[in-house]
Amino acid sequence: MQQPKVPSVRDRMVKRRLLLGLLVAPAIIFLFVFLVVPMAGLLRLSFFDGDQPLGGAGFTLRHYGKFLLDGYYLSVLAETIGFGLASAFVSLLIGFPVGYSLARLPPGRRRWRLIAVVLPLTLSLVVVVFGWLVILGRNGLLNSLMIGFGLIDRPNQLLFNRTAVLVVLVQQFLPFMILSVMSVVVQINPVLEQAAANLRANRFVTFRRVVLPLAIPGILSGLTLVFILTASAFITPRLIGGPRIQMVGSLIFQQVLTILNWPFAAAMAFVLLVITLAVTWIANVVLAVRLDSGKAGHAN
Amino acid sequence: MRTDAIDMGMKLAGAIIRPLVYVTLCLPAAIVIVTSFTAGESLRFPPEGFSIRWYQAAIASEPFMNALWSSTRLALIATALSLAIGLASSFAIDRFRFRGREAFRTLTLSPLVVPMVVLGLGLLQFLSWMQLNQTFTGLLIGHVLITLPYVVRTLTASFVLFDRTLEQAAMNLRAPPWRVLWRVTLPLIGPALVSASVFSFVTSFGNITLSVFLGFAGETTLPVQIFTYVEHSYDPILAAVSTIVVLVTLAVIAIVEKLVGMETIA
Amino acid sequence: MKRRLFLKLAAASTATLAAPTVIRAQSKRFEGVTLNINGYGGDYDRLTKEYIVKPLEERTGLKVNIQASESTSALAQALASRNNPPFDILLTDSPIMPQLIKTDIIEPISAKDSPSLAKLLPGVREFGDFGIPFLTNAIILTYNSKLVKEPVTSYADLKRADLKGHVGMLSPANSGGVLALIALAESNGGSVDNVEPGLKALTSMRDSFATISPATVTIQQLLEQEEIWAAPFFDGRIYASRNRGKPLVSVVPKEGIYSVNNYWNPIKGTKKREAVFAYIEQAVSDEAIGPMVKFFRYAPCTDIKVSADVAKDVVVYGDNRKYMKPVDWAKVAQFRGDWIERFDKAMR
Repeated sequence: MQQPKVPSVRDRMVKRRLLLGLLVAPAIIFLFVFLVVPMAGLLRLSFFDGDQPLGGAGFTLRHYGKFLLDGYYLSVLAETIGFGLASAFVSLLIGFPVGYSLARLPPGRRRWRLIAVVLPLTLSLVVVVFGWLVILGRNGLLNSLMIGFGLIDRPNQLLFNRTAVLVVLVQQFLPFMILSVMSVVVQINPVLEQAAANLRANRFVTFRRVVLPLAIPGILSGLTLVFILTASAFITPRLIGGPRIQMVGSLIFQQVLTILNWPFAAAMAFVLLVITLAVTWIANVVLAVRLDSGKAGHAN
Repeated sequence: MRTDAIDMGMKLAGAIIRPLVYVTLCLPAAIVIVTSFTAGESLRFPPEGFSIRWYQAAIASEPFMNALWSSTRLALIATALSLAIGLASSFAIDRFRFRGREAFRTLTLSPLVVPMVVLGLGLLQFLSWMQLNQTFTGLLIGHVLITLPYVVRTLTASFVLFDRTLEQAAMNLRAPPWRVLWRVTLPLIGPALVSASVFSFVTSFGNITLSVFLGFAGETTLPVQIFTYVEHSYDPILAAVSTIVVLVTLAVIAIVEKLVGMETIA
Repeated sequence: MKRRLFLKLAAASTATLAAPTVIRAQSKRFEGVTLNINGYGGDYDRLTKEYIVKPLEERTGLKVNIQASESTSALAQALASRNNPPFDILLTDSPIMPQLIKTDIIEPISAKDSPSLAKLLPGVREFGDFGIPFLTNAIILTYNSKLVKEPVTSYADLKRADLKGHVGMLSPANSGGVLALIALAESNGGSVDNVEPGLKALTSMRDSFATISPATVTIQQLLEQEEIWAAPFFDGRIYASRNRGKPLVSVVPKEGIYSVNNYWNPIKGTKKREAVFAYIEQAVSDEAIGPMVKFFRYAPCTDIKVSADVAKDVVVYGDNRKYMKPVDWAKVAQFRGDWIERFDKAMR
């Protein structure tokens, strides 16, 4: 029998490098050409001296100045970040139990619940907002329920305030948090929790000392995602927010599609982008540390 | 005693929060679906009477049905491309140690960080410079861009969980690499592939902003059609169309599950 | 032999002479030509297809593609690719026209080029020879007659105590909101150059508002849901709700009617000029405008006569046009960004 030819170590390394190159090339080329370059073009747009959509020229910082030096715009920015954080943490609070339970359910029972989580994402925002107007309206479901239960005697104004906007935003992006949590808890071996229970730890202690530390990557990833999605939202605040609740996303939309001052819109967009990048970077740095050490400590 | 109280407390909290979450998620959808069966003229809840007239109107409506087909086609192709690029990328991220691995990972996730309006504007400018802004390709590029991060996220998470010993066993049995890939690796990440494609399909299908900027005559997507519809009209056909969308998505999920042969969405 | 040859030749030549007529009759004027236009979506597009596109296709073989989109994104697309226009005709309304003219992407049409333009009402064209208007959307007042006992007759009435917390308003990000703001400004001693009186009036009314929204659909839903009892709103949308059984009354405000026109605009550099003109001729014909007025009850810009049954719901029809106040859209375009900013700040 002939001996099969054994490739040298060097050959194998070259082959491996080649393979790696082939694997990462598509994403790198695609993203560079269709994301990085257009963003660079947009950055250039934000420095144009002019207030027109296209065909600008020159270089000026005044659009950034207009945005960053004006108390009003800064307060809208602060409000947007506030909504982002609130939305992220509220959805963590109510999404974690759901994500956890989904991870621990047997596949059969999990399936329909998962569909219930994902399907709201397919509904057009226009009709979702209609639904919420019905629920939160003065003659709406919630008011009727509360009056029926005798909690209040006259309908309350539930719409057009921060809470209403937050509720709709949370509902809109909650599936992302649930799925992030679920995908990380699935990786935590249930044996660990059973072991803790055997050692007389109650739910809370098990959660705090076993589940939580291992779930941090998924939690951070979910928080980041929900924050970014909320901060960039513009249709929801446009449809359900009142005059008092403004978010940067709607301002950008206004500038782009109504006022047609694209350089200013681009400047606002880049400030928003820097913020979301910063948040992502912070989370990722923590995540990267966890990812490497998590892999090493992964129980199989 | 105290530990029991905390235990009970958490159990109770969970039992209350979970159903509440499901209700909150599904309530607007439920309202819309119920409203779509109204026999009356206006979008109101509770609906007046019961009728399927608005479904008949929706199906008879050429713009909506064309848009539905447009959106479905676009979402399917975008998902396929995203899966291809995303699988290659997440495989690389998981199996290879190379300099800039973390940067690469961030790059693949970066479209998520860019606000959609910004993306739309930037792409419109860029694609029109490349003479691609009035083509299906241009719209497709935009949709692959926004679905890729979800695919990569889902797949990299699944790869971390992956049990390599199974692959090693196959290789010990003298199976060539491509065979290992086809018969061991891919089936094992099957659930994640399904999950990634569902995520991707839903994201592409529901996207309004990008499609507004990059659409062109003959290729209006459904969310845009709905969005522009309400600028000038307002009736229950919207509810009917949205419900049809939900059904279409359910159908696609069912088909994908059958194809992959998995019972689960992990 | 000679005679038969002659007869054959005669037959052959008659056949060849007749043939071109047969061929001509079979090929239509615009066979193989496709126009791209943007549309408002929904019922607008449906009516456009039914009463403009279809008759044109039947008579001339012209095909028309309608892409539903916000007209500003259509403008954006047109600006982004000037040398290869995505549309042959651009559909927009008054607020955006100055931009179109300024960026030089549309062509003017005079009555010389298109005789059917004689159908347009005198004075309805707001931009010289640019743009062919066909429908007018007016901002008037509406109130819920079931919940509001005393009729609302003016913007000033919106301050009434019985309406507190139940008034709706469109923000200037919406063209209806721009009109309402101008109405308030002009009725309080201001003008397009100085909207401060209008902003002051709005600020003083803050407590009356249930909400101020840039989205027409939100105000409509809230009117139908009876969260909002009175609002300045589009005449056609008020009719639509009333037609669905809601007790909403259309009121011509004491301060006057402010409106926007919808315009068809031929794009500069279109290679299908003749087809574009044919389209516009059909678009201002009674065949096309009649159904649109009947469905929306928006006012026509042409001299079409509508039945009394329809006319009673068209607020700005015929004689009522005298209540319409002119708006300098070029100035509005200039100031609008500023107005939106000041409005947002004031209402916060």
